[in-house]
Amino acid sequence: MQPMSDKEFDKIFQERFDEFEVNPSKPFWPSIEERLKNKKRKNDFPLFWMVAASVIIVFFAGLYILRPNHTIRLHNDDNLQAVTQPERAIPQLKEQLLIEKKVVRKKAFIKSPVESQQVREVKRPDMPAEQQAADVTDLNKMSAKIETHENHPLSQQAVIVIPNNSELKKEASPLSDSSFHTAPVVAGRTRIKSVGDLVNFVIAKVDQREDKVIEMSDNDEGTSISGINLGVLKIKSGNNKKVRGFKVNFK
Amino acid sequence: MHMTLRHKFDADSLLEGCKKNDRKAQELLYRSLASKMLGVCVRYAKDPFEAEDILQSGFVKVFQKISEFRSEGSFEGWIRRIMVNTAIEVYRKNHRRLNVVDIDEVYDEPQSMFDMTGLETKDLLKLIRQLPVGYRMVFNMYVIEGYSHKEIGKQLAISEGASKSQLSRARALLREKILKMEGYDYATHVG
Repeated sequence: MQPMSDKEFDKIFQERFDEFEVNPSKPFWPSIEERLKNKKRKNDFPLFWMVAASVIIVFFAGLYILRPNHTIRLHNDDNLQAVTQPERAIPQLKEQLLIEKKVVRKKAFIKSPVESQQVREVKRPDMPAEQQAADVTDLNKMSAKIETHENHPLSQQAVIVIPNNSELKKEASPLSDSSFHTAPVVAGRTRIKSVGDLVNFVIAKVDQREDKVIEMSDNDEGTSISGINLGVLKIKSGNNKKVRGFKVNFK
Repeated sequence: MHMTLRHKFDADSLLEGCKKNDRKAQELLYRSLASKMLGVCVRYAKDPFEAEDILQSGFVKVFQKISEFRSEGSFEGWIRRIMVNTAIEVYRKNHRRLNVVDIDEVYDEPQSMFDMTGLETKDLLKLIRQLPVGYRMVFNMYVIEGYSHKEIGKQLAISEGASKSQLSRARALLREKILKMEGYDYATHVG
């Protein structure tokens, strides 16, 4: 008899066991069925609550982001967009805060008839002028909330929420030659209408430069990217809406 | 006494029912394949109880993942593969350490003369069960399930080389034991 090779050895095992059957000691179907039922129930439960919780969170987040925010426009659009500013290393808002502080110190500390709530928000570049406007008019008529702190950490900003009142516009004297950057798109309004506005809003809080890392604007077909600034690479679609095209800057 | 089906339903005909989570179809599928699948599980398990655990867990998985089965390829083969995967899971959880040290003496001669026809399959099963668990996994997967060393390496988290060496050691051990068994048989059955 020939010595058996590995191949033959394997083959015997494979043939013997391929159709090999062992009868179960007892019927297992009931326990299998039970496990199937349990797993189904267990899976649905957390998933449902997770989905529900997520929906609720997103819903309220949306409410928060899109909450009505009345602001006052003290300048016509031209002024806001006209002034451009050389790049600065210091955050522009820091400078605004200094201006705000100066203004507040000179005038009376105005509190609203309603208790002054702490509203922590970063405001847009065009805010300081409104503060000055508030000073010169009789705020008791309106329920304005102004709040500043003397020892204000620079990360917190003074905030003004004033109901829209066109009278203020006339009496206000715009801060001259203050630094106003071209805020991308949302001129004077903080209402967010599109994804692009939302993006700009978030970016503006973080990116202090004139040309933001990414800018979006709305056009006829929807919202799209109108500018990118990655330091080395800058792209901005034409500021003049008539011009269709973009210029690319490489440093 | 567990009743095995007299007319085994063709697994493929039950596929549609199982996909729809039809309990009756599922039960019929289980009953028609239970014995065969248990035959697979007993090779991997360390004892009959573990084998039956693997069987049940395997079928639960089959029914839960039924939607993943694309009708290309054998349904029964897919079920079989799930049994093996379940066995590997149990192995990974419980028997992680592979026995590298062999206490048994291993014959250097790879080929021995013996006749295996006299041995019943259940005897061979006993021999497989006696293997150190790591060798057992590799032997089962390569020789009977037909996995490649590469696939085995992936499943068991070992190298291809380790798979090969464990396979040859498994074979050597089995041969040795068969010789011993046959020697015993000869001794008692002579005449």
